Amino acid sequence: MSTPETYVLSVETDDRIAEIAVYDGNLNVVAKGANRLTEKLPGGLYRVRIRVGSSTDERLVALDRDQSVSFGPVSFLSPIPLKDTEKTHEYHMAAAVRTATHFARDPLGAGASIMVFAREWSVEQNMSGGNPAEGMALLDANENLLAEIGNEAAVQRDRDACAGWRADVKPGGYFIRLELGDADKTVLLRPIFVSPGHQLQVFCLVGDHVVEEQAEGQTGESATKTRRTIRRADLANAAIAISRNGSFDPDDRRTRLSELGCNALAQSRTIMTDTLIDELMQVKFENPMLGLFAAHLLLKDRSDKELFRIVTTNLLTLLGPDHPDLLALWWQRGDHRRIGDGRLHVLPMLRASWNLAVDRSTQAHDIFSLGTFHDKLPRIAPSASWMVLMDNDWAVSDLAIDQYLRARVKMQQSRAETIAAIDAFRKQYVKRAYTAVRELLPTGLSAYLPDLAPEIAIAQTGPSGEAAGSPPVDALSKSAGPLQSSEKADLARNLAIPVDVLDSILKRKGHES
Amino acid sequence: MVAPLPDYALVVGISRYPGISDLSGPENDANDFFAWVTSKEGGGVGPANAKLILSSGFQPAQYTQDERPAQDQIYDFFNWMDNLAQANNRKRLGSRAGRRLWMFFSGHGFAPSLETSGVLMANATLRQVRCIGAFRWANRLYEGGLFDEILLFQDACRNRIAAAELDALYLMLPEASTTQQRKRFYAFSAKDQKLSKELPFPGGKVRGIFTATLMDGLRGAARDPATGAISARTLRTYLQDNMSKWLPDADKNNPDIATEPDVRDFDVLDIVPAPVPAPAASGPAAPPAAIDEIYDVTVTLPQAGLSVTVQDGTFQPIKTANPAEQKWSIKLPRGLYRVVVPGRQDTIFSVSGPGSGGTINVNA
Repeated sequence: MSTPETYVLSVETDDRIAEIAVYDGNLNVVAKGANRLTEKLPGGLYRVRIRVGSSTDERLVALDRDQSVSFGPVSFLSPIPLKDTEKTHEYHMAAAVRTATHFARDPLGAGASIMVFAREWSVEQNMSGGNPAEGMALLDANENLLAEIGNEAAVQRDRDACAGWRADVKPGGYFIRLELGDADKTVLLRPIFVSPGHQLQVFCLVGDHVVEEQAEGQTGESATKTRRTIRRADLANAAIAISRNGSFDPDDRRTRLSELGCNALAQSRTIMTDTLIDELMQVKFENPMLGLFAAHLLLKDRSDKELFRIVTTNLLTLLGPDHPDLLALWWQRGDHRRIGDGRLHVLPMLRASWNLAVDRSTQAHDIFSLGTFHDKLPRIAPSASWMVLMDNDWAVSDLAIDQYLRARVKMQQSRAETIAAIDAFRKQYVKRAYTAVRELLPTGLSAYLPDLAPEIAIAQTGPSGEAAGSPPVDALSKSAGPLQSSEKADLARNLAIPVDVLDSILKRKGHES
Repeated sequence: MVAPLPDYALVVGISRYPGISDLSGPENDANDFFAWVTSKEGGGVGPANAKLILSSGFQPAQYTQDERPAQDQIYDFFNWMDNLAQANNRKRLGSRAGRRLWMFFSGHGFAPSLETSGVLMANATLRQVRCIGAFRWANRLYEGGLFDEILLFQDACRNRIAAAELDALYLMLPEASTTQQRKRFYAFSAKDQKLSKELPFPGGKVRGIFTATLMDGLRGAARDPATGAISARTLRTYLQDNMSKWLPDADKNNPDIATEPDVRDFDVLDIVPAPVPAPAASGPAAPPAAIDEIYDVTVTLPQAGLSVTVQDGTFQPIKTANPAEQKWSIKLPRGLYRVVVPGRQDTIFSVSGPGSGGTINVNA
């Protein structure tokens, strides 16, 4: 039988972190790669499929000679009005370009700038009614109001509306605040940080916020509740880009790559291609957001500390020593070089950076210097790759902690019951076997063996005389004891709150620390 | 010799959400999955080892916070598994609860990120989004080595919401032994930020399109033609290729609606083994049972009377004809094919499942 001829299949993708899979004629995966792939395969029919963000594209290929397949950019979902993305209009791109360079309110400082761009998107292009930036404001790091973005933004109400705003500011940490305007006064806060000379760009799509409101004059669980949908910017999922020259380019390949890096980080996908790493290693590497995402992906995907150090050193040049996301990454370098005083003075922008901070809080003290804001840390809400806080009293993590503590007690009770039942069964089994052996022996011999019955009785009922299989919950709750340090660290990571904050909540709830 | 540990299944379908909005499909989906996973020809889990948790198993509560199923009902199952592992450990069988765990969840969901994706519990409200982080729980049980294999299927939206409260994993497990070979397969009905869709199906039942596709695949449509088994890879491909066919065109073009699942086939494993062929009375062992899932394909030719050949994925001719009419109806199993008509451009097409072949137009 002759060996089938082999040919070379080359696949190239426009997006450097596109995932590639090649399927054979039976639809089994025969090759995988990212960005580009070259594979020698037996002649036959193949399907080449690529994944970019949450989107896919595919081609069918007859490999009866060497073949090259190339894929252009694949549309994916992004709040940034980038070319070749799913929710983009040309007029939004143009408006964002104008906002980055032309819109200017009175300066709030000097040395950096912040741009906010919010927009509606619909297939019909008829969401022209509202102000996409309504309810948005810029606060300083101490939560003092600096600007009502919603009132100041230039709103374009042609087809799907968009609103752009920009201001010069001094470098440092800020919050973007969004008020939903509901009866509960729901407030979201997004920490941002702008480095010297940079323009930090915040892009939001408008979304539905469904709120529940109680009828007037009624309180408690029995109150009549009505639901209302409020159209406001989806701040929790807003994307961030950093421009080093104060402009926005909807065609920028690196901003696109940065968005894909953000998606990969949130979706735990491994896409650190060699070409991307090459780019990160270059001294001229100049996209700070891409660098931050890539550094996090490197931490997850690769154990190459040297590479990680080079990337973070490059980021230090780009972002400066005060950047909270860089500081969180810096802790992972494993060397003794320090930047700043080694503590977080403002919140990082990326949830992944915050996770590193929480993780560090399980091993080290004195890593935060957040002032009065420290008290608000239990209000951090999970939100994709970004940090967001629900700035309301009712949004703290107490509910999850209560549930955890209850479930822990129940689990311990359940374990104790199981172990008691097994021990009782084992002793019963031993007793039966012992009795059987005793009965087999001649009476003269068996009389020398003691009777086990009294011991078994104690094992079955426990020292208090209560049935061992069902200890009371209260007793177990006490015997559950304080959380072990490993449990506390695990709970802190689960809830994304530092260990010292968790400790104070546990103390408030009367739990030993 | 120690007897192998049994398989277990947790199947959850939540339709009643007084604090959010009710769904119609989850109970149908969960019932279907449960029936399959506990059948001998399906998942083969003993009914005593499978837990079905449905909204209809509980009386509607006066207050939303008391609505069930809630986290406690799911935790009871995890505690049961933990107890089995404790018991097995004391019997010197290792800290394992069983061989394989099937987990199926259907209901409202969200996903700030993959790791924090969750299914909302019946007592969730817009303010207090109570949920089960199915992905994290599956990973916790996996890392603790409670099972050799963990399979997770989640039919729930993965839109990002800001203020969901993730349930904390209270079960602390020691790391699995390095000698234990563990495998995972997770499939989610939607990729990041996408909404999962439920629709009325033929017969009138409302079902999630992910679960409907999943059940077709598990019942045989996702079998590997070469081995007869449903492997992690073939199920993944089947789900990717076939889920969108249930969607109306308007939904297919809506960027918010999931047209493909998110499948993580971390390991190579057979999810459903090849059917065991009837034992031969004598002579060599029988070959694997034939895969009978074949699908209708219509080849439309530029004109009648042309000589047509259909080649398989290795260019072998498998069907040849000179159809007297322009349309030529054939049946094919899953795979890639090429239509060759002398003097015309070749046409490559794929048959990925029921209804996927459709009509293949050969260019004039």
